[in-house]
Amino acid sequence: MTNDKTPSQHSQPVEQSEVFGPIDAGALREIRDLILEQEPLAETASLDDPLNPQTLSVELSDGVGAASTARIDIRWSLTENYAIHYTDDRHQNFRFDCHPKPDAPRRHFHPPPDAPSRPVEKSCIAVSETGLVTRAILQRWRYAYAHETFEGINDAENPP
Amino acid sequence: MSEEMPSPYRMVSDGGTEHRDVNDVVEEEWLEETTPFERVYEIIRTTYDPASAGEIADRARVSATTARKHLRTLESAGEVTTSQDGQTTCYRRSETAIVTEHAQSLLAELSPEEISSGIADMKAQIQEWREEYGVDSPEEFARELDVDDVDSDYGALLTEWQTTRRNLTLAQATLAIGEASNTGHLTDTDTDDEGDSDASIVV
Repeated sequence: MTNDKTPSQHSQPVEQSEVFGPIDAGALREIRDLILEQEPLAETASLDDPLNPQTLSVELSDGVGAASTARIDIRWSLTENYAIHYTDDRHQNFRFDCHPKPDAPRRHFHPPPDAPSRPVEKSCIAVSETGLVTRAILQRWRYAYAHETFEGINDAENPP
Repeated sequence: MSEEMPSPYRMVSDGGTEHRDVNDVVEEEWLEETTPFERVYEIIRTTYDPASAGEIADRARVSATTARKHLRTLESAGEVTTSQDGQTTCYRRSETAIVTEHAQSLLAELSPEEISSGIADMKAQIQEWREEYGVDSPEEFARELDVDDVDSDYGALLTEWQTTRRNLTLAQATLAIGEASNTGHLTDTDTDDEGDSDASIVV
């Protein structure tokens, strides 16, 4: 690291808080193992590049509603930010994210069908540990899968 | 949504999970499926900033006494390193543990040649970004281009750059560990078989 150009060391923490942060390879490996253990529809869960992993991709053997295959892409940073993106062969998408985003809650939800960058909603996932967030994602995906709809996927409390 | 401690053992009358808050459901699952030690270990594995035993206890849903006991065990195992904040002992994942864990998973999957060529690729990629944007580091890139939204293209590149820099460092350390393991000199176990050519050399 070269700091000989601008001596602005003190502004570093502020800048760091506004960015996603480097991807945590160890966290991705733990999430991978947990998903393979917990989710029967997960066919494979693999890092895009073992040496320089940026994303964990989980291939699902079925999708929500009419979709017949789906994928969940997971990114997790050293600063406990995450971005978790569901997509399927019917071009249905949603994202549960946790990271600084201008004019949006840190924990936010990009709604289906196309998970746009804006507008976003407040996320129903309030837990923050890797194991808990992973379980919560699987729980929300399972909810949508069982009900064959994305309706209510971002509601923490589900109606019967 | 509150961050308060849950009541994981409350009665579930309908036998299903549909009526309950997703956060309570997963917390209950976690407590059922893991031991207190496993939870403390899980938390400390991604704790990079020093945290007190009390903070770790809250996150792992164990008592502070239990957290302290397990953290001491993990410290002797080299998984955890401590620092003092006044009277309080703070804990975080040790660099040694980060490097060791990463090296183990890489060496299980890749040959030293593959790691070497991956290192060259990462270096070249970083050099390419430096030249393309006329900056030395991802931090300077963030300042110069005023990156404030992670969801933007520049936000994504910033993360990729920071990640590549970290993974390059880890890959270089992995290569060194791999080389050290292959010589057999660290454990003195390989000298009888593969180490024949070296055996005559007194080091």
